[in-house]
Amino acid sequence: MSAVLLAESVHKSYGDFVAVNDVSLEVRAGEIFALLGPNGAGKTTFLRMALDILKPDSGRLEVLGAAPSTELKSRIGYLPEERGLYRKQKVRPVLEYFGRLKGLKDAQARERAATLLARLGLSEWADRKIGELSKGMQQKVQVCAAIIGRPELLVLDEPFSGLDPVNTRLLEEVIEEERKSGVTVILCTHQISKVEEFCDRACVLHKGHVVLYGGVDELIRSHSSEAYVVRTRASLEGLPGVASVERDGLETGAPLQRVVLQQGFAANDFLAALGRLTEPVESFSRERLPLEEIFIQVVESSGESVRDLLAEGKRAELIEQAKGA
Amino acid sequence: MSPRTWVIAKREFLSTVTRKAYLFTLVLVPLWVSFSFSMGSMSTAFLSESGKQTPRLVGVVDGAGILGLAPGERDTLTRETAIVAREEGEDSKKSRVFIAETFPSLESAQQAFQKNEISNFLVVPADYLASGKLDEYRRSGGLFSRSTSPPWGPWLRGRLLRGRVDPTIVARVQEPAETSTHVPDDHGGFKIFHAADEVGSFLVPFGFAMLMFTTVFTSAGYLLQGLGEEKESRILESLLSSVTADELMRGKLLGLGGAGLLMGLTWGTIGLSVIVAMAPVFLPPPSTLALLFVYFVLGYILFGALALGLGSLVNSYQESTTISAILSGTAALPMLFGLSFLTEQGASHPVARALSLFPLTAPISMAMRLSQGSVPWWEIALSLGILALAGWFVLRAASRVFRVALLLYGKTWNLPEILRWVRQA
Repeated sequence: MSAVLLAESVHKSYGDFVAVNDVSLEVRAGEIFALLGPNGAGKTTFLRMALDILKPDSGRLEVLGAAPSTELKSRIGYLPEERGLYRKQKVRPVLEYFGRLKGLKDAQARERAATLLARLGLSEWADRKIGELSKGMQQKVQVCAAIIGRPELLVLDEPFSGLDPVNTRLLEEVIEEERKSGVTVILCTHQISKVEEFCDRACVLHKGHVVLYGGVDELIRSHSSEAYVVRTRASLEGLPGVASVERDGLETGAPLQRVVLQQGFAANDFLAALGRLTEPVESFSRERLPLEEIFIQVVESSGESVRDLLAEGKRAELIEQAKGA
Repeated sequence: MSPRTWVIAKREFLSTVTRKAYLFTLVLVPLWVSFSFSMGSMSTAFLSESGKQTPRLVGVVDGAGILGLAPGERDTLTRETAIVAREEGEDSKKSRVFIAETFPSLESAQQAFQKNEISNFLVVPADYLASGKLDEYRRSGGLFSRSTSPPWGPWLRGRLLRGRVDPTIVARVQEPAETSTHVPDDHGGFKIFHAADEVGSFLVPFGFAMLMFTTVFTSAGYLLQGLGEEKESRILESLLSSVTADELMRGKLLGLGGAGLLMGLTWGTIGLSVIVAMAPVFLPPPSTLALLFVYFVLGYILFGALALGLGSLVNSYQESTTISAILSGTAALPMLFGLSFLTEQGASHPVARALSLFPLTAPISMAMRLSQGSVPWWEIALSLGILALAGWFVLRAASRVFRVALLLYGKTWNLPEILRWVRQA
């Protein structure tokens, strides 16, 4: 797959503060790529450089096969974290204006705005002032503004914040549709569960550096321990190669047992031993560490605590969902 | 100019000219000015007519016995009050007539004065010929009440000489000269400068200066207001993902400059139509109008760029109004010198020249001086050159500040930091 975004040793400082430090990464065509990191990690600065809003101090940056430039802006859709629209103006003309800025003709902008408003359930609000809409509706208008120009690269910064579960689902569908139509998506979010659900690959920035980068499954696998989770009534302590067993006492029926193997002992041999048990084995899997846990471990390994940050983000998300419900 | 710049300009223009506030200003200001002028003209006409119909009775006490008037005898005094218009190439003059009645004593004159039978009276003391001193009694001593006094001086000269010298000489002593003023015309010759033109030479420059001031600052005000709202509503990042900061700035300058120009042209056309209809002699020559247009454009670029550069540094509409007040206060400085600029000496005074060369005051200074006429060509060229250079420099600097400061919210700045942006951006 060709690279839609390519960064090599990109660096950006504001005075003495280094916002992006030697960042190298690649976003491939047609994938959904997660750009993660705690607040102040350098995500927004990096995206602003990709969008030609800011210039890098050094390094090489390519977007859609060329250095970021004004000409590329019409091929990129952007939903910034700092949301804002002309609150005193009506929804339809604002969307048409954004369409015109993205290079659409008047008629195309009108048609595209109408299509998107219908897709996101906003048709009946098209002639209302934006300030009269709820926060969630404004968020959907902003999403329409980001995709009105039929972008090849779509950058979504916290797209789910402020949306209730129904609209979150709707937006997930829209993102999926965009991907299916060939659009490459860069997703910035603190909702890491969405990354596991949606994204093909991810990059975690911390203090301007890349601290994690790769396929989501691969990242999870590589950061998972050499432990296996087995559901069976049989006792596993005596099996060959088993170093320790932790049993989940809360489960009814066959207990879930976490088995750590001795170093160097092959998983296939352990699986063969399970096959010889008289009690049935209901499930067997390698223990999988949630991406959120990996994110926390990686960031905290640099001496920072991000649990509070994530907890705060999660609390805000739950509050928004409760409001929507 | 990129297509995106035009899209921004179109939106800024249309969203401004369809605002209720803009439309009210566009329509109501000329209506209000017309109403004020008509009321003023009506009251002048009324006073003038009433003054003509009922001559004012005044008194004289001849203590020296030199006026040749018996007690109770009356004489007529006439004062030209104003040159109000031009009729068939000549100044049309209005005059006020006073009837002077002689009183035998100061007491009798005072009684008549207190009973409001006379509005003023003059006492000629016994030693007048030796001292030259007179006493005038009138209702108030205000600055403007002097103009309502009878023309005692010429009348006294006439009375003193009557019967002693030739009446034509008496008439010349009373009114020694009615001078016609000749000024250069557009063809290298001279033309008569009619006294009525003085009214035009005061009102027209002031009118143009006000027009330019209002339109430039209406546009600059909309620029600041729009930018303040966009910063408050956090829409700029979305915009900057579609256009460059320079395109945004140029589009705003163009769109809102167009809105200001539309207002200026509308008002200017109405004003010029009124001048053409009522007093075409006041109409400035086309070359002056063209120069005024150039000053408007350059002045707008300078103040518009300043407004955008400074506006990008502030975080709210309230802060931007403070900037607007500072800018407009500076630009309006020449109006403080208004009257002195509108005399021949004042227009060529070093202060007038300095303000015409200083870019922030040049548009208004020159609007006043150009409409007055007689500004040396080299001064105009130098003033335009400096203004254009300043506009170019401010546009570039503002563009750099605009690019950096646009997406930074809630921060206060210092001058060294801003200068660093101008150098580095």
